[in-house]
Amino acid sequence: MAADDLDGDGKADLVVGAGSGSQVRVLRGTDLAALNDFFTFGPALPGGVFVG
Amino acid sequence: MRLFAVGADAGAAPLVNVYNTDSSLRFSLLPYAPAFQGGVRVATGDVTGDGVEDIVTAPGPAPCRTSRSSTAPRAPRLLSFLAYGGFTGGVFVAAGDVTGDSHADVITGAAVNGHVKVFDGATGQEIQSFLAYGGFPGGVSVAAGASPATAAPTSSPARRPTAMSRSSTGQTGAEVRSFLAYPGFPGGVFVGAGDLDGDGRADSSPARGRGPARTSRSSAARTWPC
Repeated sequence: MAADDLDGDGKADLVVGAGSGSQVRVLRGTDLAALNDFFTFGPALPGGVFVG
Repeated sequence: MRLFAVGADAGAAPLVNVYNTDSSLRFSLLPYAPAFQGGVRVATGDVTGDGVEDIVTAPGPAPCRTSRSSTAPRAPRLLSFLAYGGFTGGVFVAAGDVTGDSHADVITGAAVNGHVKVFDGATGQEIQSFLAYGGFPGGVSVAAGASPATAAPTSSPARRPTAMSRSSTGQTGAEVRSFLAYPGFPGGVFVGAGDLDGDGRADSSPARGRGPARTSRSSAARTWPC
């Protein structure tokens, strides 16, 4: 997972990666609302992903 | 310019996708040989000081034949070094400006002994080394959060009876705070650091992992410009 201000509001948001598949979710730090949700390497990736 | 990177875990080619803040794909790179399938741990930080974050990678657990080139033409390698000499364990990685020179440095966490190191991002020179959990034999994941003066590597055990997070100052390794992120949880913890409440100081964001750390074959940390 990673934390950085991605939406420019001065507060960090969260980027989390799944432990299996390659789903990545970007969550607004203030209320955990989903900003983005996508498969970075496709859903068939055997392992998970690291995010930084 | 802020970016974030996603690296494939074990079982796939060592692919890294790099994204802009709006989640649009900026570019992809292959930091290690395509046959290496031990996973890639990633971090982003402005190593070059040009205002654009760069990519830092470290290999996960599997035999690693080091590669000298990248298939991504926009991503020549800046630096490559063995974070733990002949150590054959996996490495977690983070990036943050520990030295205060406006260039991101590289923070590594070994797969055993909770061994954390900090390297100058420009030269690869080791500038700090400490055991985040004295006597703890397991691995340690790391993060670095910007605060007004310095960066603070945050360490968490990847194998420990309790899910404890620990924050240390980047300059001395002295403990700032230690807490149980998930009381009673026996698995490992991955961490991130960012200013969640907007007070100008990084906060710790632990996330539960799957448990035991595994052994690996290489500790080659690498940095890539954007």
